[in-house]
Amino acid sequence: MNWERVSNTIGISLIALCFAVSLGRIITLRKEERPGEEGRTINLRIAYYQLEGGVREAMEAIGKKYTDLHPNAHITLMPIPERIFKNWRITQLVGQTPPDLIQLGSGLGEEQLARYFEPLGEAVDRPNPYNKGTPLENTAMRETFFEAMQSGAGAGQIEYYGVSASVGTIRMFYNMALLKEITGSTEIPKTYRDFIRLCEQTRNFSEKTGRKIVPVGGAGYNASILLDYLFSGQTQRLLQSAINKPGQLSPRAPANRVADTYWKNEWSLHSPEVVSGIELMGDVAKEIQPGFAQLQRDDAIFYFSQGSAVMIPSGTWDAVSLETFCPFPIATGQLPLPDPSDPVYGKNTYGPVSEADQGAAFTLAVPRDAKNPEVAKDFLLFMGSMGASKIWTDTSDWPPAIAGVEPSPKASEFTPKDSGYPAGFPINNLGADSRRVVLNNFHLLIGPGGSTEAFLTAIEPEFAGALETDIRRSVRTTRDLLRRTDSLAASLSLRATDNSPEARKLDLLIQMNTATERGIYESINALRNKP
Amino acid sequence: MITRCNHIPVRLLKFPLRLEIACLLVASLGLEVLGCPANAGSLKKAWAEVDTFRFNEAVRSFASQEGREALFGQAVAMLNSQPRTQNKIREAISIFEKLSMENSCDPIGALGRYYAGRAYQLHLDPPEREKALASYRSALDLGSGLPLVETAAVSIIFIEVYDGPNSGALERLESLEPLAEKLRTQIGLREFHTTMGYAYLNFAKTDTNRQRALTHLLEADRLKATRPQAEAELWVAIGETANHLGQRETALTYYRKFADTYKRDRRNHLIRERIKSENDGK
Repeated sequence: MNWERVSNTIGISLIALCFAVSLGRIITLRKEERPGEEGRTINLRIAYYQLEGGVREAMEAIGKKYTDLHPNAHITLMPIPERIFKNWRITQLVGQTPPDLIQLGSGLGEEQLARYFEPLGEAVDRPNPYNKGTPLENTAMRETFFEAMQSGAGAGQIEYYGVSASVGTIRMFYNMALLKEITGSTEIPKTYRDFIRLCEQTRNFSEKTGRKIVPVGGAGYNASILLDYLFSGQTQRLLQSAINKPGQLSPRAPANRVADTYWKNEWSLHSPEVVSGIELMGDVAKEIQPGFAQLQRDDAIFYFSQGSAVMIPSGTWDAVSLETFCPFPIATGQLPLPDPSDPVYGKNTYGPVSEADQGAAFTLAVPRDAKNPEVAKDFLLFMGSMGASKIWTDTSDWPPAIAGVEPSPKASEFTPKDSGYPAGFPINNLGADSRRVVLNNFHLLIGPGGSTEAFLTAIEPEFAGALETDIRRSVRTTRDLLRRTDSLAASLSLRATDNSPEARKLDLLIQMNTATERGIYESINALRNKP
Repeated sequence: MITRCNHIPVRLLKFPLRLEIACLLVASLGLEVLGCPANAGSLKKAWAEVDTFRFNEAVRSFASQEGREALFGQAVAMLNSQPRTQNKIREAISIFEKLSMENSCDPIGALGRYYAGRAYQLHLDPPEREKALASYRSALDLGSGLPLVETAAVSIIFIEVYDGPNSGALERLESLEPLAEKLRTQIGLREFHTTMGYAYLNFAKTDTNRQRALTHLLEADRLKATRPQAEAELWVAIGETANHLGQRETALTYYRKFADTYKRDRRNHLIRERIKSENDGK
């Protein structure tokens, strides 16, 4: 028997079979996607990268409700792994073969947004028709969202592209079985001192039983969120007293003002609030598993799910996945920020940080080359309605993006807490170079024999220079943005007539550009007058 | 003679290579043909390309049109088309200046003078500060009544006051007060007063300076910010400045407006505490 001939025949037959199946599939898909013909469905394809638990189920439920209302529509969900999503998305957009709806985020810039996506136009300034009969039926669509659709806005916020389904907040997740085993109680920490007490109990438990358990599971990603949050709490008062001038009260600490006042010695790395913030970071970092800075997010989650850590800080997006995959009950609570009554750290803080304008999560937009742009936009309006938002939260247990929608019982813990104060500034997040200086020396704070003094001695010589390169970089980046929106202003100026949409957009853009230019020049002034 | 087995036949090496080169030539010619627009398109299409940041395409579209607007559009698109070079920016500046010299009375002429200033200030690297100032001042002198052109006053403030030593900043700021007389539009005046107000706050040494800031910010508010973030910033700045100056009624009025309107702003709770504290102190 000529085995070579047999194997060649098998190979060619397999190739032919694969080809036939692919061809058949393509022909079937083309038939499904052909719009407008009688009896044909419109196949709306939705691509997204958030594969965490709850999302697919929620989108299926929303899709089902939409197709109940529009029987000629068919929803196809396309979950794409986050690791490849950015490259996959740009390939689809440039190749003009995108699905009808694509998730924003994951590095999509304003230029790409304007270039490749359809604006929603005046629909955002009118009540959402899908809110008819609800308390929001007379409210402009944009105002119905917690963050006023900022997450889907383009340059200058003169156009809006995306509609969000949820908001992202950070919480501490607790392994309740382990908590009960260690403390004899199921009460989660309410204060910073409760948290420290739990950490100590956990270490004692681990030593006594010989089981390797750490208080906090962490990785570079989520640990830095926790540590930045703690440090920012200690600089709340410093921001208002030494960095902001009378009349200046910003919702966030502008990096150029922080740098300017640092260079002029209005605060230093030895200011009591800064030292306090570093000590607080050091105290908490010691409770996270060793080597956390080198670990990835999935590593930390795995560690927690294996019962090796009592708590883990993470976001809304991990809540359902943790509940699904962890073989123990989970509870959530606020991050352990010291409050004003704390005997050591209280004097530097106003209180809890407000989550009032917390950013949205899971934002979809319509690409310009979508096959079914009008239906896709209509789906977005539906997704942004109270009804769909309720389906979202009840199915996914993620918090809703629409204010006024009752979150599911599990999601209620994740709803942004409005009452609170502006955060201070984080020492670890003023820019890439200052961040590098801090991270490169962090081991001097939390490593064996580490101390606040050793850490400060190491970072101080480089800190001022690192801030300078950060501010220079931010001037360049912001100036590039202003250059592009300048051209947009010319276009609007020539088309603007009294009360026209172009006149309104030009007005918005001028205000945005003035604020942007002021930020650039405040930075230039700080650099020019640096001692 | 063709050798087989592991050796690639030498004769076959030459044939595919010539074929490859031929295919590449045909393909590139084809792409060249495809790249040239069969139809030059309209000004509307060209501006739509600017709106979506397709600057290279916009340059080509404008270049295929005639008239002042097409030339102006081409120069605007050139400022951001790739590759960005200083020569290209200077070429755009010459177009702006030429358009303005030919006729400074139409919108294109006025915008040309403004954008020459913009190019000197923002697009050239390093910026040419004096030429930017000269272009901006002469744009204001035209009295065009175009809001965008009137924002030249704002850029003059930034260049003269911020891009200089802090000593003397207040004096330079005060010397720019007469710029308001050249402004006719609500938008132009609002942005001028907003910028002057924040500048006084930034460089203030005394409460007299802060009072000047407050006067400007109140005027800016009277002229009505339409962007929510701008309005929120204005109201907080007015409330805080008035509070600092002991002008309790003004402070409370603006604190209340902010607290009732911007419920989902991180400062809302702190401002409500300020209101309570003011009321308790009454």
